[in-house]
Amino acid sequence: MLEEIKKKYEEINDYQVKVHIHVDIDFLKIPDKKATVYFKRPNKFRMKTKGFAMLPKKGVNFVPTDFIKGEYTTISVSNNEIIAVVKIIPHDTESDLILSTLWIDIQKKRIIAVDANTKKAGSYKVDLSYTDNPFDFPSVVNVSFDIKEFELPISFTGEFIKKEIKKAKDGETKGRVTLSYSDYKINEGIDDKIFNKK
Amino acid sequence: MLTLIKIELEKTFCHRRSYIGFLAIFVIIVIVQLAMYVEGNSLLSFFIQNLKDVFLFEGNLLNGYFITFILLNSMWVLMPFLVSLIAGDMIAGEANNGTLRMILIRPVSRRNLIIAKLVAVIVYVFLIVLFLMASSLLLGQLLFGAGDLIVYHGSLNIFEESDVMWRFIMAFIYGFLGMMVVASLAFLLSAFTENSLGPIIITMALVIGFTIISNLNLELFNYIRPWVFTTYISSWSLFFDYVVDWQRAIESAIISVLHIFVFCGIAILYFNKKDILT
Repeated sequence: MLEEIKKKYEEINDYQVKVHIHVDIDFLKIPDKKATVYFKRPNKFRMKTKGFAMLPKKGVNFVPTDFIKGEYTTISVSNNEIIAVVKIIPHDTESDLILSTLWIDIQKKRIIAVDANTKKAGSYKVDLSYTDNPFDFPSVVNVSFDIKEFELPISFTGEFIKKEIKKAKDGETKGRVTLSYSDYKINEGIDDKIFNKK
Repeated sequence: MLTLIKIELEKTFCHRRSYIGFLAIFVIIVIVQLAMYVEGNSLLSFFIQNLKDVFLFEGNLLNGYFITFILLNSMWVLMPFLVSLIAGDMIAGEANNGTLRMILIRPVSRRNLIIAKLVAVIVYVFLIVLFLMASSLLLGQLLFGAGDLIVYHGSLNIFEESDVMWRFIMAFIYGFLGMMVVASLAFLLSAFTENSLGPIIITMALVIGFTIISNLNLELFNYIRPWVFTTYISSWSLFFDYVVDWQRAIESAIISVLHIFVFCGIAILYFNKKDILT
């Protein structure tokens, strides 16, 4: 089943999509932003927006097969008629991904959630919702992660009074980013110039 | 009355000393902007260090607004000194030079004279705060351009470009009110003495002492904090909260205006009955 899902996304050479970004982190206040995301194989990626925008590194360039690249071992955790839960262990020792757990909609052959443990980015969770996008691209992607608590020296802020920030664990707080995708244009060709940052 | 105000303004702006503040502000702004032009990206990276591991960024945060905010944060330390330098000298300076008695020999009322001097202080404070705002914004735009603003104020706040200018305008108005409180205090002390150095030093000592009380998070100071004027001087920064606390902003404005009225009122009343010996 994983190979079937992988094959479906392998037909994609490039795509562009409009994305609405909502960031929810205790210490960071930023208005919702709109951007256009461009992707071209093998790994060209660009986000364009008016003003400033930020996207989570994990989950943004979301071709759901990112978690089943190369060789891997699968462990089936549970398997009913609707959802299969599979653990993926990549064979590549250089891979950033250590272990990921995939929740798969069996009937529609879609990944609906991922819980990933990585070497560099720690652990994060991605929840995906779908409508009728071509190639089964997700419409809404929720990325949840732990992030180091933000603190600046007093000399930068002039603030001696610290406001409280909710902590997940020592020095870390929870972050969540919701990406709502619309207007997918897939395999229509994207000029390489778009990926050249000024 | 208008003639008196005109004369007081001429006297204020004929002194070279009155331009020290403008020159100091301009020099600091130019130095900081040039330094930011060279090393601004490192400072900005420091602001967003934790986010870099997790996020991809698009857009320029090192812009004129960011530099202006950094400058304002630093300059409010210098500004009380610059305004008290002029306001503290306004009456005591003339008493010290022996010109106060000579002026009052002429047919001008004491009340009108002190009000004219107060107007000159208000104009000076307005111009110097406007100069700080305008020059840092203009030079910032020229060197770095516009864009979204990132500030650290309780949390890391990012404002869209269209949401920034009104915040700076409100910061200017509140900055003016805050500096007027300091100027009024220096003006009041100036009415009490015959030596202009005294009011300036006492004003600065009070500003520094009260600023420590306003900002140190000690339980004992929690009771004193609402009663010291420095708590309200930094209200300009309220407009860089992500959601502005309007109630607190209005309270701060009212309390600042009350301070100005009380300090200036006492100065006028005292000066009307003062025994002028020099």
